[in-house]
Amino acid sequence: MLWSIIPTDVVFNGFEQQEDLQLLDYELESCPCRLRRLTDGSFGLETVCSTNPKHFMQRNLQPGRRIFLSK
Amino acid sequence: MFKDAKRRNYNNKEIIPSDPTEPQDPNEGERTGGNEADNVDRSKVVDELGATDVPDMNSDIHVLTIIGQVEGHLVMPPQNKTTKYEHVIPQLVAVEESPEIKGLLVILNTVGGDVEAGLALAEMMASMRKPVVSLVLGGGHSIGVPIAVSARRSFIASTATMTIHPIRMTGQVLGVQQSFDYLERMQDRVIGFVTAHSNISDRQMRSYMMNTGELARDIGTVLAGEDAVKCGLIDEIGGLAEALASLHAMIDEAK
Repeated sequence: MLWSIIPTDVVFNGFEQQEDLQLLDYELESCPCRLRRLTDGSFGLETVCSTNPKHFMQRNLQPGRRIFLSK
Repeated sequence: MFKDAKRRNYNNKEIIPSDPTEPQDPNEGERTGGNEADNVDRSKVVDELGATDVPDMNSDIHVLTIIGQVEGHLVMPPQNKTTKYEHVIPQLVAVEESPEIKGLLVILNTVGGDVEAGLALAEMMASMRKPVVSLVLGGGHSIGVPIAVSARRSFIASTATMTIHPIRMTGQVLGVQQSFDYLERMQDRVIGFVTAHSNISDRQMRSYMMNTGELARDIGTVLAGEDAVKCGLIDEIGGLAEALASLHAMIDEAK
């Protein structure tokens, strides 16, 4: 349920294509994370999957951070 | 310029960084021309923060930004700028638990988002023991309203606006009475929270929400900074200095 001034068709435009979304579970600095593959081959940090609140305060573990992994 | 160079090189050759969390720029050597340490660090700062220099300082307050859409149960497509609630909630726990952090400053410039995610954040902030001050800059629309009022003291810039309008249902909606009742109950939850944490009346809030004479393609009301204060939704007009002064005063009081 959305409460936003942006119309829902704009917000969810391309939502169906997200099924092709490539997610990768990875451990960064001893913290379990979920990465999303970006179009240029690099990864973006999608979610930190930790139960330790300290991990969520780390600057390098914030969502959207680009991560380059070896192919 | 640097980003283009990086992309070109990344497509052509494999990059194996020593530390996978640190983006490695294959042009580092060529670009820096011998003065590596300083320039490499600066380019990383530009890449990550969009500025050449960021002040290095220690503070006993934590700043939390709520920007773009508040993302909840659904991962939003990439054209949206989002604040992920599952990341903000543990941060609030860390703020409450950390002995070094004495107060929380919440800066909002949001278009709204997921109702339950926004309400979860608002409830978390409202139930914190440490002082919380919110500052609305630009816009604190829709679900941004309960988040803004959840702080112990709320500020809004005179040029900022807050839009109050009815909640929308997404996905398949059955045209039956139950759908409407559910929507109404959800609206009651939001209105109940806002009226409990601000000085606006239930009647006034509902009248702003159902106003048909203001928005061209929707119903609702846009409140500019001063209007939001006059109706009791927000405590004060102010900017960063006022919000910080208020937060520091609360911290001193709590000592």
